[in-house]
Amino acid sequence: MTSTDVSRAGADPVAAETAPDAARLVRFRLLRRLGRSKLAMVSLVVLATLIAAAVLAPLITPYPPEKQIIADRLQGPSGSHWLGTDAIGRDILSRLIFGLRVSLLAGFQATAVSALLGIPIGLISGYTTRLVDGFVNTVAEALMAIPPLLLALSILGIRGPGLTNAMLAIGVILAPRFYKVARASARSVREETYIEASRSIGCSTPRILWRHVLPNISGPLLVQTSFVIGLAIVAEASLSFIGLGVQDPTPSLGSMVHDASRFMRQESFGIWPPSVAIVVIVSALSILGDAIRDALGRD
Amino acid sequence: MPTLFLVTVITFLLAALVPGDPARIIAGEFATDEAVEQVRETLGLNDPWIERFGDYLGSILHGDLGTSVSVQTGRPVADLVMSAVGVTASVTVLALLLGLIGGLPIGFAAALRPNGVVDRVVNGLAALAMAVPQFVTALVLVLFFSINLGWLPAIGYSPPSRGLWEWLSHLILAALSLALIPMAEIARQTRGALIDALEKDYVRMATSSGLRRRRVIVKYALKNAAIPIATVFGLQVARVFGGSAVIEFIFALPGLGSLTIRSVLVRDVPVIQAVALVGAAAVVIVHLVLDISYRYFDPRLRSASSVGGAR
Repeated sequence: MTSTDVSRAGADPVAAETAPDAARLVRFRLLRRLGRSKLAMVSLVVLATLIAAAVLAPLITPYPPEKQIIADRLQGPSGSHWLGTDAIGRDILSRLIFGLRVSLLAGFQATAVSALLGIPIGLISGYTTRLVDGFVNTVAEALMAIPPLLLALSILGIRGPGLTNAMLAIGVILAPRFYKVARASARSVREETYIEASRSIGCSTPRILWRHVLPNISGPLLVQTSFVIGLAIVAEASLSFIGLGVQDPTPSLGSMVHDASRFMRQESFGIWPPSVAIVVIVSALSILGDAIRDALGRD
Repeated sequence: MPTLFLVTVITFLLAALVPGDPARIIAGEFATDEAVEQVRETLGLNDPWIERFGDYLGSILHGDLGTSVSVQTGRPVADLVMSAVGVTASVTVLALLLGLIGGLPIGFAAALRPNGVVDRVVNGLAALAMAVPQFVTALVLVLFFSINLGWLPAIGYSPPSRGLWEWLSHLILAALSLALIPMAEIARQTRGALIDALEKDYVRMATSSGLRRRRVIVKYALKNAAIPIATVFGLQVARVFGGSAVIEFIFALPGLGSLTIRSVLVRDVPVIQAVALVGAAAVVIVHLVLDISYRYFDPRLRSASSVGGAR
């Protein structure tokens, strides 16, 4: 959510006014350069297809995801079950598509949580006085010192297992990534002339942060968003794999891998579809992130 | 140090985030009001929070991490943690070593010819490796080495006292599955840092003054590339440590991760707090060591920190 806000803020006419031609030029160059990377385009198409499949899940799945046909349990791929069936005879393809839905949504929501937590705090920390920054940064460092997955587990231990809490926990553990990028970028643009100019005509600090700092650091934040979604999907899958995320009848990519792994000695095919799906999504997101970073240029 | 202090604040606050009345949860669903009150009194929940934090901090400093309420009721948490920490430490250290041993030379090879064949292959593989969740790597390794080939045990743990190979064979798959991501990250960072360093003026200067390429790379570029590599390594420590939770779950290793998951399932808050604290302490210590190593790699940092010191 916030990622679209960020890009919209970047296209905001007021923001563009600060450096009208240059800003537009940079944006066009970004798109053009992005278009030149074939790999990035492929990733974009793959992601769009998967998102479309997830959205259209109820329309395109051959079976209801929770329907059990015990007689057909633990089958490999076949004509009637393209990706086989799981231990209680549920169609893996159907569960995969519905699982995609849960996992993608979880990834986006956790990312939104972490952006909402990390970006404002990072902006304030990077822009304001050393005293505030020092304090905020010490607290952030303490939070970051706890190994991320352990922190997520702790939060789940306190709040109880389940998808909502898992997403909150993942949002919290990934927030430092946004915080760091926002802080560093805000710090680097703080001394720019246009910030000084807006300060001198009496803009309030929140306005400067929102209108002038944020649009100018949207590039690095966009890159980070694309990585964070991938990390959030992996984290959600890990928690659901352990059984602390999504609860049973609902499929998620992680819980599907777990279901399949318990019967790996009899039929190992089941672990592949959800695993490959995770790897494909995460690779596509990271390729896209890299491509955006390259397109933005190093300067 | 302030970091560790704040971590204790955070873990202390974790307990405060428990929804509902902790005393009632601990006393059980059907406890009478008097019983709940009793629990509250013994846990000190009636004291003001600053006093409770003081008590908490004080007991941590004395090595008392509280008492387990549901994983193994009545057993000191410090006991539980001590019996588990060795397993996690072995897996984590093994994984990080594998990551370093694999990642450094791969990244080095890639950096020598940016955009060459090696570089492209390494980049592609590293990107792919980073996209594979640790539990997937673990399952694929188990499938291949344990189920198909039958070379290594799939699950379980054997203490080193029962034979070193036995011990290692139970850990190696777990360590490998944790090592893949650090390996890829380290390879990438080594490549990036080395390429950056090779573009620097002092490298051009060294080359133009007739130094041999190998000497330029090892003596100038590599040493300057070491700091970003060390930073990434430091970041991986926390990730591997946390990730070992999932891996211990798969391989049924009795480490901190398994302990955490068990206590999460039964909401054993003191154990959860303790594990978070121990994890953070481990990370802080590693970072401290790395900070010191920066001074070794970059003499500028040495003089900056000891202005008016030795000289």
